[in-house]
Amino acid sequence: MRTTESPSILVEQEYRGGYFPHISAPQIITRDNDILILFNSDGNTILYSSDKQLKLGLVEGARLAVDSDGNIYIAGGKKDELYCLRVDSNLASYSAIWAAKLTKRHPAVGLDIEWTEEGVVIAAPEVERRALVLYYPEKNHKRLIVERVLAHPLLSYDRSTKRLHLVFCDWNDYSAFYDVIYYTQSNDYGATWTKAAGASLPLPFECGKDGVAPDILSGRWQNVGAEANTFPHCLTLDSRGNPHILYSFCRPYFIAVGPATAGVIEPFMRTKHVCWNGDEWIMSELSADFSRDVAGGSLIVDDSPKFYALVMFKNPNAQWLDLGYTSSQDNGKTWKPITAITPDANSRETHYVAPSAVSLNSLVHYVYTDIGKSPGARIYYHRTK
Amino acid sequence: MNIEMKEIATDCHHSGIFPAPGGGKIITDGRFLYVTYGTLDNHSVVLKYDGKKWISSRKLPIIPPYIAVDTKGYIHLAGLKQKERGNVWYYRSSEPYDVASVDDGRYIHPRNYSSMVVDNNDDALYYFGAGMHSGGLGFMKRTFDGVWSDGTLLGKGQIIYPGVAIRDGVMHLIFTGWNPAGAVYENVFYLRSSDSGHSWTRRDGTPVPIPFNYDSHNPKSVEALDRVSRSFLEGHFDSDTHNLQIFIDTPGRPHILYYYVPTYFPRTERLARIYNRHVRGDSDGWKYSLISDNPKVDLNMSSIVADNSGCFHCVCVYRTKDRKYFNLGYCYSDDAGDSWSAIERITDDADATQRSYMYPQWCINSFQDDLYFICNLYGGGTLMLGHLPLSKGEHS
Repeated sequence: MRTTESPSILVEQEYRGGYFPHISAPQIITRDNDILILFNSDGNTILYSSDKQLKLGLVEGARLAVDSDGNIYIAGGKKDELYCLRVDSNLASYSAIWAAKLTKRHPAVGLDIEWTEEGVVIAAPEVERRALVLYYPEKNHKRLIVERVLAHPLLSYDRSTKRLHLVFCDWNDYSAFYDVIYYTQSNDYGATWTKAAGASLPLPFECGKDGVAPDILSGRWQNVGAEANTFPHCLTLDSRGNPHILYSFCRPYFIAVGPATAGVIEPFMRTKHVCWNGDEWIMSELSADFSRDVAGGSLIVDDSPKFYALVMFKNPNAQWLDLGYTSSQDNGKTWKPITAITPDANSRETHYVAPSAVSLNSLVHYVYTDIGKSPGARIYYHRTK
Repeated sequence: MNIEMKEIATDCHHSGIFPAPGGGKIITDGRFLYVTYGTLDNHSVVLKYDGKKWISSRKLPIIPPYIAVDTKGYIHLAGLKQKERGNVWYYRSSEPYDVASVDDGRYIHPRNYSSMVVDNNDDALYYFGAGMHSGGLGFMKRTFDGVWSDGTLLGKGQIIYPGVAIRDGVMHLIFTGWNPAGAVYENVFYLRSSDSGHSWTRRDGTPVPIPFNYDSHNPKSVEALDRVSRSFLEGHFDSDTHNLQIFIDTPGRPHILYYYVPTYFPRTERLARIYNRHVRGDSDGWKYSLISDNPKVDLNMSSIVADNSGCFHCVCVYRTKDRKYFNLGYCYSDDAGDSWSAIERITDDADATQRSYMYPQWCINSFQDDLYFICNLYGGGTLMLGHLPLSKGEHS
């Protein structure tokens, strides 16, 4: 993967703080032979195409999807409201097509939107109820998916198989950790759900019950060793419609104590790729170098068997995250060492975070942002050559 | 600070003085100092010290051990019996102050994380257990005449590490929650009882109905208890909260220590990998401090004690950024834990020996006017006694 010499800076804005972990994350998707980029900047949500931009006012936690006619749908919220905007295909105008009152928003959990032939679907948490709900804006309908889980959802829809995929994790206010990553799929736009292998699941899901809970993707204490703070960064589908997920995790005891246990010191964050191959879940870790943090990223899997992952990483003793990439030649079973894309996180005292990547016409297009000691954050756009 | 370190055993198991938030590894009745530890061959012994020489008990088939001594001088021990899949067995000396007269013991409880304490008002012994094998948290009482009560269930759920202390007839109890999916500790809680465990309250006296149900993913069940550890709801990222100690000071205030591993997300400030938080229960609420807020110091475990002047002494295992292994350190507080002095080094050989010091625990009362603590080393073997002379006013 070769990149252009320098990225375009789409915007510079006043911001200083932490990246936790998806706030102000930019998003990039494809639309026919074009790309669309969505990000928040200084009180505005901005939608970019290659030749136009549209200011949408502030849509907190905004995510976007595109229908078969090129119309764009954006879901997000403001204060106590969740709503859906429809942007016409030439980015000339937009209008709200639906809104719902929510009692509370939560900074640790986001939402997602996807388009299906049956209409737009939004997955969003109901915070006070600790539930995940699917909203169908055009039908003014909603469906309870899971209770007792404050879920951070990701949606992806495969138009050839007409299958909707859903990944979500829990959030625990007390431990300040994300918890467990679940996967489920639907062949009827969310009316009924199954595990990846096809077993039916009751609605709402009972995540605490073995056998009737969605597939658990993150490592458990009983098998691979415990994984804590498990956060899904990316859900994407390969050419066969199989789901691929990148998630980050940590092991607090080994972060804290390290070599006192006569083992190796562990990074703060590690990242795994997990995919369904039609028969079983296959898991791999993006970096075998445990002196290096890999804090999640974005995955491109539409050129099987060669996959790319853009990742946030840092080297031993470094404080700041650079952006890099790794690739796999074997459908994600093994990954090459990480190659840096940004060279200067530590000299700039800046984290490069929140990469979002797509491929278009054999080129990788990606966006990311930065968070540093100096005031101001930028939104970067970059592509390979 | 002039702490003297002395090796008192060479056969201490790696987990021989496994953390016990209620203590129960080093104790004094005023006449003797007692230390109990698990041995490399999975047994336990009790050492008795009169200030000059040490006397050892025979080996008992339990590990890890917990010790309590009543006002008559009888020695009480409990621990997991290795040949019974870890059932809890209880032992008692048949003669006061006599470690050689420990009896053959008896089964008292399924496998558990344990804590044990004597109420000096009536010499009743309380055994507290928590863990997945018992399905929650509970206790049993042994009256001085040897009669054990049935178990009382205090709470159901994923609860471990009970720690109990009694002062002036008030029982103080801490425990922590456990998340098996992520293998992390979640929340540290406090309960107190002024009627020998019949009823329980928060620190402020609000009753806590027993038995409670604890589920860390159900906010109502968490908020029904007296949560001591800090949370995201209060703007903190105290993750993997492991309770380390409960200590009751002369005015009767509970002091609680727990460690936490701050949740990682890309921040602009550098943080240590692990912190120790001190929490004091005042009449108007819990008061918080960090034993060390230095981002270049990883503080693994600490233990506190107060001397008669009210000075709080802390012994800890810590690692500075230029080190790989944890050394022993010392700091103190002259304001009951509102602030702590910088850590002074007690040992400096952890990197050279490639072995970390572990599990420091004070004896919570002075012995022959001085303060003592124990610690061991990663991997087992050495058990050490630390001696802080107070009689010469040398502590600071």
